[in-house]
Amino acid sequence: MICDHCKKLNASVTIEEISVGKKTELNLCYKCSLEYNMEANAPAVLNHVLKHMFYGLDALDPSKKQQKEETLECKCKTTSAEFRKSGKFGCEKCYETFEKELLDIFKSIQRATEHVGKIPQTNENSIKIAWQIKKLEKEQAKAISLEEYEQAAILRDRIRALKRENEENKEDTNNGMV
Amino acid sequence: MAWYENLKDDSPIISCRLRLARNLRKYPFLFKLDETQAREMIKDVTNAIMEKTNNFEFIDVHKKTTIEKLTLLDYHKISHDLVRSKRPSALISSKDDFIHVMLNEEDHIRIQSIYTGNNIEKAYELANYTDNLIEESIEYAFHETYGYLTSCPSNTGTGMRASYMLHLPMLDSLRGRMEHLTRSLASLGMTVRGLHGEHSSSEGSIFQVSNQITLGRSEEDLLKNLQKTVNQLVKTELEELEKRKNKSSFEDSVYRAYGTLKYVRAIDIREARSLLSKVKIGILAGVLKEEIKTPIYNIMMNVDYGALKVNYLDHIGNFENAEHDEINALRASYIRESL
Repeated sequence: MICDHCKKLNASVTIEEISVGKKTELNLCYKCSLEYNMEANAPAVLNHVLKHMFYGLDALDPSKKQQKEETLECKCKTTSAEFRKSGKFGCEKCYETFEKELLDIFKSIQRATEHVGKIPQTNENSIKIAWQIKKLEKEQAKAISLEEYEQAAILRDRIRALKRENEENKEDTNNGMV
Repeated sequence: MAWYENLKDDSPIISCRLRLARNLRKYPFLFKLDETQAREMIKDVTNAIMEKTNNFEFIDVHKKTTIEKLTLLDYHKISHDLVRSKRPSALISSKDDFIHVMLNEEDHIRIQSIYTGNNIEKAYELANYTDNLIEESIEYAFHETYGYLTSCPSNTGTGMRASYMLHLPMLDSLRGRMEHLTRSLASLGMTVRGLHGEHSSSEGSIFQVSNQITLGRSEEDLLKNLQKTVNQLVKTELEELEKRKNKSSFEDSVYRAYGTLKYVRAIDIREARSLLSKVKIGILAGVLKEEIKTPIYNIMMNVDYGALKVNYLDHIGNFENAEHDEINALRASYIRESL
């Protein structure tokens, strides 16, 4: 088998990669595999995923022409093309502008889409409440689907109470700032 | 005492490092940050730290010479990116040298803590303390669902990268073993790299193992996972060493390396790292009976170009123009003195 990358030497290493829910196999020669492995830190893996995502497996074949994709632009002037090339965002808002791509990236390189770790101390309370609300909303949806309406109503009231608490906290903070 | 002054040759674990990536809500990310904003950002963070403690010092990396930057790189205080950066950039280091805060690297803030041996929890504790200190007066870019927002989505969430520096010559010498391990560790969300991060191969059998995933798991979970992986690698390395250390060929290769380094008159960086690696494993195996003055990994760091230049600047007046032969000779003399 010939190396998928240099197309010269015999492939001796197979790299399986799961991206965008699809399992792909890359057969590489010893030399190319070293480069691939050494570069297996975030940006290289990310670049690989980005290529797959936008151009499919054809991206690995330089002889095939790559198709054009729709272009988005964030407030900070970062465009889809720029992001695809560098794998870097220009500002906080980019996370919303490129959310669709972002979720695909998260699924393939992070294997998760939600943060569960540390929260900044300054808004720790409100974020913890927001997380709690999200959890209860999921439970509520499940209860409704199971036609457990009594349980769903209890959950609805708890969600309302938490939302109110968060609103009050926000007002307190704002008043404090004035 | 700097972290590298406390190195030992008694385990495959050399050091551990923890890095937190953070950005300020107030400014665009690095790639869209103009020069004025970059300077203001540096000022904001510097003030946030300096106002609360006098345990830190400020280094304007932007104003340092290339050699000075390379030395900071050799001691793992700054990254390749910061050496190359043309933007205003800075380093805020704790006076005890355990915490380094890089400003304007890939993210506005990169808090980094390094310890020798198996001390990743301590490193996290210290980085986390510094993070809280900065956060008292600065608002971070934080998203309710995605966590800490970073310029590259591969760091989003915890923004945490924890890594171990390991010396694994036995595993490295088994054909295909490291590649195989690298592959299986990748499927567990871990990355294995060569000595100086992503830009060099694994000279001297020094590997860095770190968490690839930063989102969807807590900091504690990520650290536990990494430690488990490292313990397994260390165990396999030591088992392999146990199998080989009593063979006469092992002893021979250790003493040959020691003999060469002890009397060498000129040596390039690759050969130096490879021979030092053999001496290091000889010490760990208890095969090398000679008294060694300096921890081997310390010598490995100092034979690097930047560190060698700064430490031996007096020997060669104009180091910039020194020939390779002269540098190789200087490296050899440094090694002879250190062993």
